[in-house]
Amino acid sequence: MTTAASRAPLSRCPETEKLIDLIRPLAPPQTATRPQSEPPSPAHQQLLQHCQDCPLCSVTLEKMTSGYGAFLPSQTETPQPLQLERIARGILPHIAKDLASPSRAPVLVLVALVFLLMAVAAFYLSRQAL
Amino acid sequence: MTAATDEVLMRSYQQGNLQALETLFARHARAVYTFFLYTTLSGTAAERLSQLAWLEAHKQRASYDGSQFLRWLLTISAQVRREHEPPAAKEHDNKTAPPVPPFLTDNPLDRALAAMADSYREVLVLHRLLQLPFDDIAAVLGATEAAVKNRAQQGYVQLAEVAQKAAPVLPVSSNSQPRPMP
Repeated sequence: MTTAASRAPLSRCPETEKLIDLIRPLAPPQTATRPQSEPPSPAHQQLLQHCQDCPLCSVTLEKMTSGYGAFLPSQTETPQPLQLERIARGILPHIAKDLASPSRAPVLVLVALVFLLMAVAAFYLSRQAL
Repeated sequence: MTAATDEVLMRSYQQGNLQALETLFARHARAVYTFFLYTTLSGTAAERLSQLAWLEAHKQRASYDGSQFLRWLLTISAQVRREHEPPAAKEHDNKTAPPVPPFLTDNPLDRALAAMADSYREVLVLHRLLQLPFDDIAAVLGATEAAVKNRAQQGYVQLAEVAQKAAPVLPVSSNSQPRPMP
């Protein structure tokens, strides 16, 4: 496990925060799932050059790339169809029922309109009575 | 239906098409489950929270604004996790005896991942397993992009050090030859 003391020097380099952007392009092809279609931009190349020249960055970059490569999706737990099926059984009937039920909004609008008309009628009738 | 984009399916679902939701579920249920599995470290909690997240997405479907669907869904998932996961469930709850996921067993790297701070692990899961870019991760977690990059950096460095101890030769080759530390 890494210690605060061992990580502390890494933050001295102002470029360190940018390094993380380089992880995916530098990951080995077999682990990077997104194709890299475009060549690095000049700014990217400049940062790469910096990473190679700066001792702080180069160590950080190597560690991050190593950590990225070590965390292989193929080695990790993925849900089994049975688990997804259980989740689906828990939600889809409820949602289907909810989608099938008619909305109450038109009814509420109609009721409000009726009340409004009755209030207006009562107002005019009371004025006529006077 | 299956060739339609997530965004088109979501519009259709907003208009009451259940089949569109079923297609969206088939595409993204795995991602939601994986997010919960690695953030809660419990298969039982992952199933329960997955259900809550999909139901919450159903409630909030009118608020979907046409942005990337998975990001929207994972943002809701992250909210669900914050609201519904009791603090005790964040520990490895042996009392309720959920099935312990295989990644908590003998692999030193997976043990390190499980022992890692939540805030680091959730970023690594979103970045590495779900392949989200950092701006999306920041949006999902409600954090700044710089903050999630920093967490990712710390997390990957931790994993690298564990991997290095487990296998003295670094498993990944870099195209740069680092200079020794001064």
